[in-house]
Amino acid sequence: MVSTVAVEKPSTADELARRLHDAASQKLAVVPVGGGRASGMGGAPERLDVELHTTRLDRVIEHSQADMVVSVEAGITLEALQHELAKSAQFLPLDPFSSPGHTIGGLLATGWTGPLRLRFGSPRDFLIGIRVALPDGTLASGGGRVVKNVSGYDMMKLHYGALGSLGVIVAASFKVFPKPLRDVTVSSEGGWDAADQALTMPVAPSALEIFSDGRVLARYTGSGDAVDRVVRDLGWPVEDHSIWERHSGRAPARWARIAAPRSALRGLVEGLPRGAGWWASPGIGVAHWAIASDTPSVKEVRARTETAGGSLVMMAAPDDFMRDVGAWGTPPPTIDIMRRLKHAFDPDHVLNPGRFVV
Amino acid sequence: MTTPFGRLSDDDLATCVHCGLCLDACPTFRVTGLETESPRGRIYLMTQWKRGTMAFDEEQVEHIDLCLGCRTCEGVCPSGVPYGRIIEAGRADVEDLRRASLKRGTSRLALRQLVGHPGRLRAAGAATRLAQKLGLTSIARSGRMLPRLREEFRRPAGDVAPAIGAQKHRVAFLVGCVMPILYPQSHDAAIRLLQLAGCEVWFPPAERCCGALFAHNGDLAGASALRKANMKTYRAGDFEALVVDSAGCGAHLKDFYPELKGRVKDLTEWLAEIGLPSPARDMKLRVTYQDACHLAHAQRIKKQPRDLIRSMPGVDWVEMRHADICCGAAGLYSTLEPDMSSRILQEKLDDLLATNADVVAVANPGCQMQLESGLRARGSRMKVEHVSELLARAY
Amino acid sequence: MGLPNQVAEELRRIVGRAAVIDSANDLRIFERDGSIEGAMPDAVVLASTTEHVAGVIKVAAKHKIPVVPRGAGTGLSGGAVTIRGGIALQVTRMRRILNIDPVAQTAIVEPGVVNQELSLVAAQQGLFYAPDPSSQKACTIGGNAAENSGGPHCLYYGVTTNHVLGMEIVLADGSVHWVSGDAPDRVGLDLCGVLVGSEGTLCAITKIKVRLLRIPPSIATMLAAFPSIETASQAVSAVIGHGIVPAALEMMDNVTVGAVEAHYHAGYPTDAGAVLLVEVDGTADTTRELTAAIGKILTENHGYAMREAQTPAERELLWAGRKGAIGALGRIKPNYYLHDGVVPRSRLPQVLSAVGEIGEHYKLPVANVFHAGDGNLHPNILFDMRDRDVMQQVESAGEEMLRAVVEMGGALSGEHGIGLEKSAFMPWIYSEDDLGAMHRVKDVFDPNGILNPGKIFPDPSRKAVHLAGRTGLAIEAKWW
Repeated sequence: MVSTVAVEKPSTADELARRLHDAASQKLAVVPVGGGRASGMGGAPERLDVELHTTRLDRVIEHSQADMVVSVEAGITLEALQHELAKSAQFLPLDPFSSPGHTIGGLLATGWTGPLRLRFGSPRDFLIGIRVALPDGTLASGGGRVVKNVSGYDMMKLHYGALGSLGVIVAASFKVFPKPLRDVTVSSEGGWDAADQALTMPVAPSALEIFSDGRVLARYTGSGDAVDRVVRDLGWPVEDHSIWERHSGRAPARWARIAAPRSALRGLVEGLPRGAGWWASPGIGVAHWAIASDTPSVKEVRARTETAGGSLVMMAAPDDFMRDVGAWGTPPPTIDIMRRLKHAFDPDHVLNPGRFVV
Repeated sequence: MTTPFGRLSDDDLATCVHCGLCLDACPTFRVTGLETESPRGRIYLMTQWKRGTMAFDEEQVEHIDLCLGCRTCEGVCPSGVPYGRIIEAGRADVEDLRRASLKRGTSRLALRQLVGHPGRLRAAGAATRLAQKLGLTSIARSGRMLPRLREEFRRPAGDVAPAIGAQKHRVAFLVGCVMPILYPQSHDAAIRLLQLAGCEVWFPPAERCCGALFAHNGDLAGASALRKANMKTYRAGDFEALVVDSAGCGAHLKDFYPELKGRVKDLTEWLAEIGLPSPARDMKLRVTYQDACHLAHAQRIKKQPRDLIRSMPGVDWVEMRHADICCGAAGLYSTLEPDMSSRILQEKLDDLLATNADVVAVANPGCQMQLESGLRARGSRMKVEHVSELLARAY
Repeated sequence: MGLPNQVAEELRRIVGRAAVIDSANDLRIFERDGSIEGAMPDAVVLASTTEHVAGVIKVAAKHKIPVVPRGAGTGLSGGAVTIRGGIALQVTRMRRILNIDPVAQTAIVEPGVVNQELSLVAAQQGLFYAPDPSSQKACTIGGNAAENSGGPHCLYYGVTTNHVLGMEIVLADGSVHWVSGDAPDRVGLDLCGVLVGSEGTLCAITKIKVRLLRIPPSIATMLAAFPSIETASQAVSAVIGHGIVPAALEMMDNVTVGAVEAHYHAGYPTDAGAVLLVEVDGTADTTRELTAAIGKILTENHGYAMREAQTPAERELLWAGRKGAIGALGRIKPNYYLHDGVVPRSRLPQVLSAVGEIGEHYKLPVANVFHAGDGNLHPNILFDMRDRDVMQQVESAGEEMLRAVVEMGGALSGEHGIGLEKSAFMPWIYSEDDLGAMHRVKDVFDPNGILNPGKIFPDPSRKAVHLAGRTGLAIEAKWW
């Protein structure tokens, strides 16, 4: 189907909500767009009438240094936010792949994370407030600007990782973290044994990555004495920090995320086609696979992953490849409840139709 | 009593802030999961009765009856609710209002007629012993089985046992009513330990039951009469401490005999204070300990018995899970409320058997009977011994 | 009042005769939880299995009777109070720890498992369950998950939602589902995340899979006295400002310390204006370095009489004092009314002086004990319920304190839940549209409104919000 796609770039949340409502009231299909770094995720849109860009919503609304809380508009890039936080020796512990250029809204919608999740968790754990534009034109907030809050339902969890299927995230508040007193990265060529060794040291690493060539990167952060001791005890060579920047720049043209219970991850990764390129966070239970093989191989790996209680989600692939394997795999058993939620928030299915599981 | 619930103190009841921290410390709540069988629920019930905001309903007295009186809740209550005092007063108040029940009436009669009079109880003990010898053991059908009775405890001539070695202290020893018949060996061991520790031990003549069982079952008048009689005896003697080897009696004496304030000592408390001589023998035993409610909660003594046991050579100590939760014996409770008592006992036995101990040490005759009968029913070879017996093994 | 006989019979057929309580006098005993307002259920039903829970909810759905899941009833916001009557669905008999997997570091428990019991059992494998509400000796994991409970150690470790991996739930139609599980990044909407903290208004919880953590090899617990709450608050900000996030950072004011010392004899300085309890954990290196750094910061900020627990027993005693603090206030007055608002940490001194002024204005004693590191207040208004006239004063004072919290950019509740007590104040922080979005969630899960009705959302029929015109206060204060 060929049609003209309207591109909207509102500069305020209110304006965005109005545009969304305008489109929804005409039952036009809306795809929210942030930095576009994760646009390969999900199925191809069934319909696309309006691209709703958040990139002009790029303000830091408030950074309270003393409270270690920041509120931003959704279109701000992760880098711009980190730059702001760095002025007060703080940071958001989020280091997604396919960087730079992610917007905060995009990262929340896709749920993309990186190696630092091992120590700090994902935004699911440090997102403390959210504001979302809904298809009926309302702006609905949840949470707040305090680090601990059980006032009402946890709307952050509802929208995090929902791929914009229930609404368009326009602003978010986070708990941020002090720059660690010491931050050291070491490497080894020792493969899984080395990874296990680093993971079971008395000081747990803040990030630990293993690569298909047997290389292991371990990052230790925390108090000086503790980090120095564990680095000394491990005896691995120290790496420059820029190695993480290079690592988070990874964005294969065709790749998938394998997420599984930690105990099952190694088996799944070792079962990838011979010579496959991959990297994994064994302490988290997530691996990324740069796919060089055909679609049956992906289906086969997905089947094994799902049997182990996990999932294989396509991060990016050419359209026909994506169509063949499917973006998400088997729908969860609670899909009916999810569909009802979708219907409650987006009754005309105008948001990202066809891209998400609901 | 003329006013209903005249003994319950509204101020005592008001100290409960309804926070619920007591719930999981209560054995009856743990097995029923019911607020009505918890300290908070019982206090709420008695408060409504006391304040007249709820009519007295005899069926609800069951919730009061089901209280073990173990006072574990007191230990965990941050508001300092005097639960022991409340439940004793509540029970006494309730007795005024409820219809006489055969079972309770019998138990009260038995208490007054038997326990209150050492001579009669001894006679009953003799009869039971005879019955056991003749194989008529079904006598204890009502709840738990009595231990196999031995020859009962005998006071030394002149009512005094001298110190072994140099005399450093003079103490009185509570012979009591049940212990000398059921567990004379615990008394024997306790007295020997005291002698070894340099105590001259005096046995107050004409001493009767301390009254604990009366007070715990709502018969405060009976308890008062016994206190009066006993104080006459105690006043006549000269002693640093009144040493008690059954926790229930010790707790009662500490609460109910203000004249003895500071001088009533549990055996373990006293021995920890004055010290024992160096042990002579290695034990080679795996040992655990079941807190007696009236020691751990009413008297707040948990450390001393453990320290004493662990100081003995060759003891392989193992702490039992939930050691300070009641075993379900609770004085006459196991007779009056056999079902609940047995449910609580089963949880206790699970924890106890998980320790794989050779011996479980106890500090009260009720606990000892309860655990013995439970272990026997489970076919376990684990031995139940009074702390005194266990310690005496090393000398 | 009372359930129709036929309904009671249906319930008995499911759970057994003895597991349904419907005698009016006994029901009275179930009218309250740890908060002050009560309302009698029409029946208490004891469930022992998931099938029981599902069966009971099916009966309730058929007859459109309210169902309120209930654990130990230690909640402080009225979450377990059957304000519209109906069935109190008691899960305290579902108290089995079904599985502890030391390799995966997870546990599966029934909802009636007591929080501390899980940590005690897990300790045999060197593991612990991090969220530690002060009522952990009695409160249940099911209740914790429903309320998204916190606790002192949540400063570093996060609250319940950060530790729940998955749950077996029963929906309002009686259907049973698992939400989430072991694997990260699950496909679809995060239902588990939405259900944790939904206060029994969206589902009943019948199993919980939680994450366990390794017990740190070294734990250091420090106590420091301060001349005033203000100086102690500044010290808290200074510690965090130095980039140190301790495992726990707790404050008690002078009134609280007095009450706590009377029961626990933990050695808290009773002459201090405020006391800080600070804990750090990790390797011996970490705790040594952090204690030294923190000690220095506290001293620079007027801390004195500093001491570190020397033995595990001493540490336990210090914590027993802190965790029993609210109950210990019963030594001053028999009742407390307690809010748990949260403010941005830097506003602590301001909000605490406002709390003090409000207490003085109403001539009510106030004791403060709280999670200073999170900015999570617990001002306890102390009173005697037997004095009928005082109740209105107490409620007004509480409301004003909460308003002060909101005006400083705070939230209504940090860990106790909105429940019954704070539902009327929800419009202070959420607009109609915000609440509307939450209501869409409620309607999806519970279209007939049988699950814990009368909670979270303001109920116009129940109580007027006294502070008209303050709607959307937080939004006006430029949250976004």
